[in-house]
Amino acid sequence: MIGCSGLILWLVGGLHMGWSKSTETRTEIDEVTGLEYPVTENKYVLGVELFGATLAVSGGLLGLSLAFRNPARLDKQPGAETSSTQL
Amino acid sequence: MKRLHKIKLAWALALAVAPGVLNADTIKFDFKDPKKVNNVVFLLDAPLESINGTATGVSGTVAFDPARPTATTGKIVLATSSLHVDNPVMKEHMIDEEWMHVSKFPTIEFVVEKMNKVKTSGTTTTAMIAGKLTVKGVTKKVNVPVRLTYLKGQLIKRNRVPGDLLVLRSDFKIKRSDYGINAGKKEEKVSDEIELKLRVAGAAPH
Repeated sequence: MIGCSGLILWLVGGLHMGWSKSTETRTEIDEVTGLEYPVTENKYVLGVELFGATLAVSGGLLGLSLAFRNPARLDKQPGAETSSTQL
Repeated sequence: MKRLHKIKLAWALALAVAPGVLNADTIKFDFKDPKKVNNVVFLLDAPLESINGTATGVSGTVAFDPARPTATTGKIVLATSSLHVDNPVMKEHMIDEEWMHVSKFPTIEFVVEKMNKVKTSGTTTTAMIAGKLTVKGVTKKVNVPVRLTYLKGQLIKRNRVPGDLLVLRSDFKIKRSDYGINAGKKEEKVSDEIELKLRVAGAAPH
């Protein structure tokens, strides 16, 4: 769930390969002078470091869930009842 | 005796008027730009990280004579508080004491002292500027290439007042170690070499 959320946010942000950004700067051209100038707008873009962190957290949680899962009880396994009566 | 007085008076008048006559065609351009079109782009390409940022707090004046571009002088000032990178953590580091120390050094100044290798074609002049660059309180002599475009009567299209525009473009590199910007440290992430792209236009209302 966490990994999928991170992946979706990263995809929505346009597969940004740099660090996370709180603003985005684009370039425009002044018509009279022909000068290129930056226009900055507030926009959060998820970077690879946070995307990596979401994957690491989700991977860690998956590992923990596998390591500490409940062992399957014998009485719920098929054939367990029959074998106990035979003994 | 009266003739001597007249000659002295004539010389006094000539000396008083001479600077005005010599600078009659020099136009003073103001680079303060509330629209924030004037900007400086800075690029750093280190082995582990590339950084690009902008700054728009440009001001200053340049005296330019279209007939005598070699006589160009002036000063461009950049407010360090306008330095910007999109990553908020990186920006915080950039403005703090270790790097640009913005609270102590509020401006970066570039003084134009002389123009060399001047070539003019139409409205465009290319030259090498000999000047002084002050960053973080350290002043160094620099020679940087510049392209000036004189747009006579074009100010009305931009600011709705009659006048001229002077567009100045310059690309050059400096080393942060020369200006005491965390010299010799973290060069794997923040390169020593800083590429600067100056894109500014000054206005001279009539």
